[in-house]
Amino acid sequence: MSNMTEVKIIFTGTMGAGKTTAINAISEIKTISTEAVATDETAQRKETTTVGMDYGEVTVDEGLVLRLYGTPGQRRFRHMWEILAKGALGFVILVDNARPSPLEDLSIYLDNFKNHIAASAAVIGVTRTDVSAQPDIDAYYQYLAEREEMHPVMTVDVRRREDVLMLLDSLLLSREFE
Amino acid sequence: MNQPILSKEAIALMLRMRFLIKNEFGELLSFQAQDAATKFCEYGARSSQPALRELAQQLSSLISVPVPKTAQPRESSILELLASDLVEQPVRLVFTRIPAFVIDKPRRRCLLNFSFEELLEELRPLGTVDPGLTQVEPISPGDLVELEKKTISASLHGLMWFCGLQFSQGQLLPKPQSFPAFGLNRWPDFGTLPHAAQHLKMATFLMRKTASLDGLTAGTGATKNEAVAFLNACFLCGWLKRVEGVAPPAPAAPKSGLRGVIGRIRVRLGMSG
Repeated sequence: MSNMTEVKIIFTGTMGAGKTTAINAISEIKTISTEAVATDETAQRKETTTVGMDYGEVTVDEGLVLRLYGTPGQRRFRHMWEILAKGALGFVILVDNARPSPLEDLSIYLDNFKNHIAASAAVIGVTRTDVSAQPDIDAYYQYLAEREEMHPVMTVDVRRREDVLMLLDSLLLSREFE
Repeated sequence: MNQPILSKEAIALMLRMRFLIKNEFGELLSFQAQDAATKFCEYGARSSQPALRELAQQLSSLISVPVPKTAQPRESSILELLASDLVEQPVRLVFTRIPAFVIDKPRRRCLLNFSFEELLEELRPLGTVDPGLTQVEPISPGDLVELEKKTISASLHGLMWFCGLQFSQGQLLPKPQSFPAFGLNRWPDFGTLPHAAQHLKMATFLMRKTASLDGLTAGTGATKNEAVAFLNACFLCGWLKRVEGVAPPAPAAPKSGLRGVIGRIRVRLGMSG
């Protein structure tokens, strides 16, 4: 029987927000993705989209492995979110700021994972602010305050490994100082 | 709407300037506008005629907010200036040692005739040296609209953050010095602000707990200078909270259980700052 401890971090958010890219930036194995040709609204942005999940991992040391899971972005796969979320160390919520209603998008994930986040932590990464600067970070904090929640919100380019590490670090530190 | 009261001297200058401006720019300026004097100054400053520029300079000094005298040289450092009430409303700051620029705090921006990087390069060698502030000119909403078209807009948080981290020299600004303990009302946007791992750690610590300066250094492993610079930067950006009642610094919890796991992951990913 293995003495390996496993912890998992969930990457969630709208389709095209960069979940697969973010996991790719961190994972030491080639990210395993279940993708299919996009046929719905997704097709305007991406040729393929994740319909199952993404998986990456980092071997921390001989006794610890960090598993990174990306949820499928489309809401019709939300039954899978609950399965993935159980026992997670925390949640990285990626929001595509260039979509029509980023704050409404965010609410979907905050609502859906509410109980899991309350028991762990979440960090919000806002992507594509170069395409759309609004809502700005203050608007995100205002929205969180209205929900009586407080999570780190940071603008990120998930193609940059240091940005993804920054998100993970704020998530880990949130757990450390709880 | 309250019309600013102009002195006789200011009105006399504006009368002399009015037709010079009309001749050069083809526009007969009104005396009645809310921001009339500021507008006269702007036209004068852009003039190719030395005489008109000189009149604009004189008028500008008459309508400017007087620069307060400071008791100690340090109070006129750029850090003290940015923390003062002088910059609560949109103002143009004119210095002898660095180029003039506009601070528009309500919209969290500065307006520059040069790049933001150039401003930082001008500020960097200044340190706590008095930048030689000579004028603080209030800017009307109408003039702000005009300025937007002619200047580069940069993040005021970027400027505040830079000055807080660079120029604190281990000394808390006067206002946060009076805070019994500190908290933050939001994380700084580390996606846009240059930072070290220690800043992320201090921010998360102060979002999860409240602490005195000693508590912050004890809880995060930051040095006093790092903590002071971070607190000043957060104060300037408006993110630092005053907290009443100081809890004694909690001894660091042993690295076991979840904390131990988190520590191992952070080390593995190169985050241990």
